[in-house]
Amino acid sequence: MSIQKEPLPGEIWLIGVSGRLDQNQSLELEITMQELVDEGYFNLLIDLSEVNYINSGGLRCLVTLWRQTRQHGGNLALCGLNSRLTEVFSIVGFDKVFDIYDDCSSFQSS
Amino acid sequence: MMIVPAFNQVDPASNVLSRFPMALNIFLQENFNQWQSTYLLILLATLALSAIILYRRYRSRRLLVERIAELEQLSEAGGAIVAAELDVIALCKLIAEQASRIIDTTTFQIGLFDDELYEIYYWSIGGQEQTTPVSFDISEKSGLVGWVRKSKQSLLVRDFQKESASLPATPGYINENPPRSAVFLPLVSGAQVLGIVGAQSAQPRAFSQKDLGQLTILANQAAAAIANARMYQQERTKSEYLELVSQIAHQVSAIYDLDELLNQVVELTNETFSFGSVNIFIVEGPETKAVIKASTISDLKADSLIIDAGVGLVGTAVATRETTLSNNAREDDRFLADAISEETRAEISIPLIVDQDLLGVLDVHSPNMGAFTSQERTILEALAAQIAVAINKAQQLEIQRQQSWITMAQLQVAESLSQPSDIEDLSQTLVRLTALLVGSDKCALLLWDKDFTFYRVMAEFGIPTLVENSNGHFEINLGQWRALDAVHVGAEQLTTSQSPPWSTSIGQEQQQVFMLQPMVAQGRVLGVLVLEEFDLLDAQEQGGRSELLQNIANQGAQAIDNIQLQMAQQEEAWVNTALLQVAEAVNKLTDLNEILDSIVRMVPMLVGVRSCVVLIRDEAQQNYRAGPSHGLSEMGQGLLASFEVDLSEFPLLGTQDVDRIGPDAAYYTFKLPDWMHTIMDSETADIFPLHARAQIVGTLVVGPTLNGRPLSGRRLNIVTGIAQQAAVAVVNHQLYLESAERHRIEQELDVARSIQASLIPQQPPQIPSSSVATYWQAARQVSGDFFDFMSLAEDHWGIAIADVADKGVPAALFMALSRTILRTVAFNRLSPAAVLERSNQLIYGDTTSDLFVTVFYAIWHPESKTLTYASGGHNPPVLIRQDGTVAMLSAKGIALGVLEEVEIAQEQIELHNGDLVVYYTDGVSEAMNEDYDEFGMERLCLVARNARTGTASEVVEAITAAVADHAGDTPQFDDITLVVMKYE
Repeated sequence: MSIQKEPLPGEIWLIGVSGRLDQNQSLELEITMQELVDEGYFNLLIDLSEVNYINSGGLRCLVTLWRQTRQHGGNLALCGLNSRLTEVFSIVGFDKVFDIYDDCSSFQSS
Repeated sequence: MMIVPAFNQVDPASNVLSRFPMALNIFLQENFNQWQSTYLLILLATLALSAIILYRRYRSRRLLVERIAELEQLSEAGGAIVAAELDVIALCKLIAEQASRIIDTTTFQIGLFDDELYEIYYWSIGGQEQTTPVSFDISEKSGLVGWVRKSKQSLLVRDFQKESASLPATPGYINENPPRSAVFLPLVSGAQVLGIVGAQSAQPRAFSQKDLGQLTILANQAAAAIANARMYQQERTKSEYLELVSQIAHQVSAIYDLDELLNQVVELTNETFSFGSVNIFIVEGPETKAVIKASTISDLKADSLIIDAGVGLVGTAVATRETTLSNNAREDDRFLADAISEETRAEISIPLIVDQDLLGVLDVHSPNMGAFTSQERTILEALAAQIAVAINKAQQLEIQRQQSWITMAQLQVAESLSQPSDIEDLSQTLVRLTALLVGSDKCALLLWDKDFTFYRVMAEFGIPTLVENSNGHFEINLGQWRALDAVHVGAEQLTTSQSPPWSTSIGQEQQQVFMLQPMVAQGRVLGVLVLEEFDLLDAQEQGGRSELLQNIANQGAQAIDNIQLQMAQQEEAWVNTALLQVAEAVNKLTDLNEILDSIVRMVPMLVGVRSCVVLIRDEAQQNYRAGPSHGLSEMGQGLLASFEVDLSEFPLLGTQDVDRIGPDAAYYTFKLPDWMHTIMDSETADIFPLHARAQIVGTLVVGPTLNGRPLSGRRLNIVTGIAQQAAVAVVNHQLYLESAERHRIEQELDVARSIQASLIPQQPPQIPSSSVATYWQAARQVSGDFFDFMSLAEDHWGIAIADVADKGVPAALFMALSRTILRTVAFNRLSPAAVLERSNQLIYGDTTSDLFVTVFYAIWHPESKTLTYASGGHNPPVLIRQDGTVAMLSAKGIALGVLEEVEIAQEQIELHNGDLVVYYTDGVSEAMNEDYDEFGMERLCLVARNARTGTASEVVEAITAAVADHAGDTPQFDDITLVVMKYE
């Protein structure tokens, strides 16, 4: 798994994740995000277009981060979910929790 | 042969003839008157004829008889002479006796020549026998005797008065009654005239030619006899001399002391031969000098005269190895006028040689010129040969005695050195033995201390006890005494006038000679024997002493080596015992602090240091903290109690420094920083890192030694060994703590698991018209999954399956919470959606964690065959109809615990006989093989569908078998939970 981050206008950070997102792999993502949160960035967009697998551990990680940003009045949005992830999100009902965009540009335009 | 001419010279005819007619006349006169004239004539004629015949016969017979008588006489005389004793004087007397039968020997002499001397051995004058022998020098006036000698002819003087003019030489002497006649015959033997036989008479014509003839025969026989006698006498003299020589040899052969032997030889030689002074020189050095060792001249003491090779007769004999002889010494260029030779006229120097070895020179002087004829030379050379053998024997014996003395001394050394078992005793023995046996007044033994690299004076003899330093011995460092340095490096004996350092310390001033003898064993100089006032004068004795010294040194070195080895073994045993004690203490104790405490107490005791501290490295805190200590001051202990030093503040103890020092560095001396200085009350300390498991777990800080010296090899070994044990103890302790923690956690997990398991229904419920089978397998000890069955009102059955979004203990706790809430909420509600919504509220409010749980909750009412269900974000269960139709029991919903308020949809279906519902968690659907290939919904549905005719249990078995088959060896990643319900 690899993680890239880049700032977007409006103190928003775009985090690109690739690979599998389970409880083991998500630790790195959590650390990256935690750093941003610690630095005072609470509006984050995670691009999951390169993620082909997510399990409950990965979901937990996202929920944790989502909660943190929300506590600071920010938000954690997702974009680029493939069909499988969309299904998972749908099953678990997280499509109602997270703001999910098709891609980064659709996030920005919103 | 000689008889024939002599016989011819004699003419006896006239005598015979003069008597014959007289006898005939008497015969004729008696018979003349009886016969007639005719008859007479015939008779006369016949008679005359007969007479002539008779006469002739008579004459020849007479001649024959005479000749026989003469021959008998001569033969008798010759036989007497030849048979006579072979003594010249007696022989001469016998010759005179025999000669008296032939001639008048009233005045008679027999003399023999000896060069220019004429020695008369028998002399009779006028019938008076003279005292013989008498010598006359005939070198200037030889007279008739000289002529006879020279001409080898006999001389017959019938009348001196008549013939004096025709004599071949002037008579040698004139007396009052000069002889009138004389006869002289040479005594000829071979080509040599040995002497003269002479007879004289006061009467003229006293000796006839016939006498001369007979005397000649006698003289010839006498000459042969005299020659024999002389030869015999010479041989006898020679054998007598040789007998004397052998007597001398015999007498001196029992003398083994060389000096006495030589003195005896010169005395005996002098007594026996009476030549003059007799001297013996012994060659010393490589045949360059002849040194006088014995002389008949009392003033000439041994060693008082030394003659170089080639100088004088003695020196020439040394140089040429040949007898050198001068019979007219004063005229000889080689002659050396010295103390020995004041009256010398002849000298002979004979080299004394044995087996090619020139031992010395026998030198004999004589006040007489020509004293040493070939005979003397032969005799003296024989004597010299015997002397040489005796000297050689004595010298060999002396060497043997020296050798045997050395051997005895060596045995004594060996015996003495085999006794002591400690270095001090041995050292004392060594210096005493050395001084006694080698013959030095002062001796000291220096031992090399290889730990501290200096020489220590261990024992001294004849030297005042050297000032001891604080360590109990006088010490000499390398560089302090250059002679010692040289011996230390070269391991060779050395003689020096350089004083040892102690000389100054005890105020010796005069110049001394010192011998330094290294004691070498196994190629190492273990020590040095120092001898003072070592006498260097006598080279030979010096050699023996040097050899003995070397032997003592070798044996001493061996003994020291043995003792040191023994000590090393003892020390090793002691070290091992010490380390064993430590090991025992370490093993017996379990508490690290107690172990380290006993270690810091043992270190000072075992190696004699003031203090010892353990510092323990805390990897987590990146610092050192104090462990137990011993031997610190109260202030030090107080300071140490609050000791906590960052690794960076103790850089030398860092891992990188250990790398720098190298893995073999067991310790290093460390200059302490100020704070540590105060604690240890010392500027430096020895640091022994505690290495274990390729890391440093602490350090042993060892304070200064009690004697102020660096730790010796043995002590270092002990501390290093202890440090290793301490390191092991620390690591063991860490391991123990870690394993205890693991154990504790495992135990806790076991408890948690059993608690959790108790929350899971042990047996599927007995639901009417339904068979239920379950499977629950956690990926770890505890699971986040759970399922539950609840018997609700009016024969409704609540069936729940849930999955907490995590694993392990937090998930298990969350699971327990969720289950309790779900159970509580479910009991009085028959709407699955309402149950989940209410549960969500309670879970959300009850937890601060980030966890959430997905739940599928169904209420089964067998009577109405209705299954009402709702999903809190859980995987939709699979419905497999009896005919094989597959459907997913999906329902809108969201995982519980994420949002405060959720909306959950509720669905309802009707089940028919043979239908089955498969509830599962994603552990089943997402079980992966090694290729990350998920088991997947398709396989799940297919397996369940294929197994649908079996019982619920069979379906569970089929699914779990398929999952296991799919995963292969890939470890179970997620918790697996399966609930199968079949309507029958």
